[in-house]
Amino acid sequence: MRMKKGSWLNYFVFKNIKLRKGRFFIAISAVMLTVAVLTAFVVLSTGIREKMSRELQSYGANMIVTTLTGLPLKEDVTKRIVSNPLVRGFKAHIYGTLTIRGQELEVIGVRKKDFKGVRLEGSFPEGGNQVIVGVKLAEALGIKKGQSLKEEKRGVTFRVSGIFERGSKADTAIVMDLATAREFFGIKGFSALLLNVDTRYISRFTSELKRDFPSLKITTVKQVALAEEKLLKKIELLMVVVSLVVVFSAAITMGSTVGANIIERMEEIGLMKALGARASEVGRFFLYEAMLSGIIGSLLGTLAGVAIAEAVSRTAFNSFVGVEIFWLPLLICLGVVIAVAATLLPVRRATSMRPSSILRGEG
Amino acid sequence: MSIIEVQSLRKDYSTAAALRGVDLVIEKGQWVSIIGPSGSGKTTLLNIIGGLDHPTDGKVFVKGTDINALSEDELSVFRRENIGFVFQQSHLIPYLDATENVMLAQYFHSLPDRKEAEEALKRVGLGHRLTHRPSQLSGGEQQRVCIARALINNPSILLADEPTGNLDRTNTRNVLELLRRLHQEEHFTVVMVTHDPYVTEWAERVIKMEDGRIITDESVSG
Amino acid sequence: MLLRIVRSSFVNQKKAMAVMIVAVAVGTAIASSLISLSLDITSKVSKELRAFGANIKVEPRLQGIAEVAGQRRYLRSEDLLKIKTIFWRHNILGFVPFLYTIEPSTGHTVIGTWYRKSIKVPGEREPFVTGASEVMPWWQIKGRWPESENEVLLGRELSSRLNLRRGDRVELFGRDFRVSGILSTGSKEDDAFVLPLEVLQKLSGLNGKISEVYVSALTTPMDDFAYKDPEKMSPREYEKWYCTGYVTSIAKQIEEVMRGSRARPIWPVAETEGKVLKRLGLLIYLLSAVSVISAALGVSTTMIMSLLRRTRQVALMKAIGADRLNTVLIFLTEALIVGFLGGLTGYLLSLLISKYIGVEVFGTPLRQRAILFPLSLGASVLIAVLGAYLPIRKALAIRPALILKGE
Ligand SMILES: Nc1ncnc2c1ncn2[C@@H]1O[C@H](COP(=O)(O)OP(=O)(O)O)[C@@H](O)[C@H]1O
Ligand SMILES: [Mg+2]
Repeated sequence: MRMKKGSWLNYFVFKNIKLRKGRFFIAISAVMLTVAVLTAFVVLSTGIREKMSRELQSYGANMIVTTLTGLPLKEDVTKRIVSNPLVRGFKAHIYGTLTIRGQELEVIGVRKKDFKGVRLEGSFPEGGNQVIVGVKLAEALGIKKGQSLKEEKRGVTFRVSGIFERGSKADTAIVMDLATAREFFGIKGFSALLLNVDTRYISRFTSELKRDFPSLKITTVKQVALAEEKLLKKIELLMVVVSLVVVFSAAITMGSTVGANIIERMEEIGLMKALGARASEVGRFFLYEAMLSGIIGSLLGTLAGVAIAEAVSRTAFNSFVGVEIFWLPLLICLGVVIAVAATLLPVRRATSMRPSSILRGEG
Repeated sequence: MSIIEVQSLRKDYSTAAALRGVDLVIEKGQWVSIIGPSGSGKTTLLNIIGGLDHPTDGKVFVKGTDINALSEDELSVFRRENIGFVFQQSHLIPYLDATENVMLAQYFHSLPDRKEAEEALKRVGLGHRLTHRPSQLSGGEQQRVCIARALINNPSILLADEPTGNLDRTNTRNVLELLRRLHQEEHFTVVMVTHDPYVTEWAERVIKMEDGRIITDESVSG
Repeated sequence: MLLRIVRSSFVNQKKAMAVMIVAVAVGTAIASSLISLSLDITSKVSKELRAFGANIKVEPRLQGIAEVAGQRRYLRSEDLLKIKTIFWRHNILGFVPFLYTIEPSTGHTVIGTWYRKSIKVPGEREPFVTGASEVMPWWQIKGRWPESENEVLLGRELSSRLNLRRGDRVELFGRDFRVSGILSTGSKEDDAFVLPLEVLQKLSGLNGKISEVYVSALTTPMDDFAYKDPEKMSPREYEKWYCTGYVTSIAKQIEEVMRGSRARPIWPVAETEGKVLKRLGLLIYLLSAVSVISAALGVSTTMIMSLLRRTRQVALMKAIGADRLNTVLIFLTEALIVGFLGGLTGYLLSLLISKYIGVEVFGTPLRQRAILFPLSLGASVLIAVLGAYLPIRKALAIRPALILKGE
């Protein structure tokens, strides 16, 4: 039975791996470690904007949409706006007034889940006749939790289920549940839409919206939009810089592990050359092994890296981070490339040396 | 007909000169011993002839080729076609067994052939050690593997650097007798470095070196 | 003798030693700089978060219904300076006073404020620079902030409504003003005239009066304790609360120094800040942990790889009669030196890296903590020694003959 040249290469390389399992295992671990760290950082770096911008939504909307006419926004218009992928989050408001103790007081209707960034003493209004009152208004009018308020125009009585503090204009208003407000004021649709738009594309989004719906009044909340974009950029930069540093160092330690293995095998290289192997033929031996450990290590490494990234994301953000699949083959290739480079560099150095000096035990 | 021709060869190391002008012509099929005290430049000379090292000055022709003019890769190819090496430290690949070590030389030359490799080992008397790894072999056995490996591709020149340096008298004898038999069968040229006068008894020609120079060069009859 | 052997082993195996030292140095550098980062991240990011604007708003305390209906109460200018005298004065990064008035003849809103004001704080050498430029970095002025008493800034929306541009003249409070720039802020200033606070106070006859103050303070993120009602705390708890830099306790202290004031956290800002800091801090902690572990493992694999080849030497030493202790000592001394040199270079490298990270991302270097020096040195020596121990033990366990024959 005669085997091809390539099969013999297989044979010799696997013989080495079989008999030096420990070293091969260490080489794989080194690659795996590096690729795992690399993957974890890449996954988290690419996911961080989405995660952080969700956290930053509680600063408030970065865009407010109303109509130029002052009429409510229609339900279908609202649906089309919020289904745009650039919209990361939205809140709907209904505005109206109540007349209490002879004064016209502003009312905001909002969904319970959208009522955030607020300190509330008591509970969010549930069911028909409950409201909560802004702290400034409550102080001014001497309103307490549990009290009843009589709306004088329509003769309805509301129970105050809580007092809230937001530190903004809303503190002089009354808040009720969106559905209650809608029914009470007889509004179809919404008075205003508060959006969190991807800050990178906010101006594009604005012009698109103006084009599609010329009757809308669009206000960008500069304070939030600018600060948000600035912070997100900064965090992304932080992740990139840290990733670069970490990955660079991981690559160096991995290279030194793989390199240490080659230093150990210098004599082998000298011998092969004495037996008449060309530099490329010696290289092929080591390349093959490096590819093997590189591929196995990188495959395991990306898996481990994704697992690490998910564990970190679960802990820090209470949610999984999305993995952009196209990164994975890239990372695997990178791991293989680093493994191969870390092997071939010292091998090339060794093959360009005189075999005599290696065999004499130098190097 | 000369197979190796060395002209005014010099080799300087940073610390000292190892060869200070060596001229030498070796005929095809000759068995030449190079003897001399440790540090006299024997290994250096042998390595340069085998293309494992480059001289500082002078020329080396092997089979009519100026080997200094060859690139590192061309040298490798030249070696596998023409030269077999036996070193003092046996330099076997530790993770391959005896047969596979021989097959590795076949691999670089052309294609491994297990049967042929096993035959070669049997010829050096290692038929019972085919699948032993170097660490499982005695010094003499290791050296015999090296001889099998050096001769597997039918080289025209065998360069041996103190092949018996680590062996006792009996083993030395066995190895040399073996080599003589192979030499008679296959008519390759042997250049063997040694510091042991006993080893020169097998040679047809003995060259004595000292301090980087050839001091005597005599043919031995018989 | 021992030292001689160790020395010659360094000289003769430059490459292998260099590889080990590099691995230890890089591992240490990365671990130490990431620890620096995770220790400093919250303070760095909380400064960045101030870009979202003030987190405390100070207003006159309302009494009774009249104020809601529009009757005005004011805070006093002279109390402003006291904000920089409270317990947490160093955490006050800036504050901006506002005075809101209505121009009597046209009904336009005129706002008085500070843009960039340098004030002298008692007991501080450097003047304190504050104003909208510090607290509200999103303000944009096309043109410039009024520099003389007859210049005025015009809000963007009002300017397009009145069709006035930079350089145009306008009459306010019966006096002639030149528009020195157009201001856009995204809030009520867009629809108003804006003047330096002192100018407006004089014009409107509201000398020394201000309507509200926005304060930007560095705060400790709110925790469960912080949400307790201070009025229901025991004296001990109250003390602790008061002396922690919660947004609520800082607001309380400001309230105490500004007469007739009510200071309230701006909750969306304050709460988001705490959340972001917590999340980001945790993220960086975890990433540092990952990196530190990977560095340690990476260094260990290199050490093991490098030392596996030395098993031969161990065998040789045993063969020439070195006892176990001596053999171990030789290798441990070597590992100690590798660990020490690697640790030292690594620490120095980490100073550069953490400076690079800090400057590149936050504009200022990360804080260097002295404790990291002994820590990184100790850790690198420990890892080097552990990484050396494994192969030595393995080598010692094998009979020399086997190794010397090349197994
Ligand atoms: N790589 C080297 N660097 C410096 N000097 C060397 C080197 N190799 C050999 N030498 C010196 O060259 C001389 C000849 O060495 P060598 O040819 O090995 O002698 P031999 O084989 O006859 O014992 C010796 O003095 C040796 O010290
Ligand atoms: Mg010699």
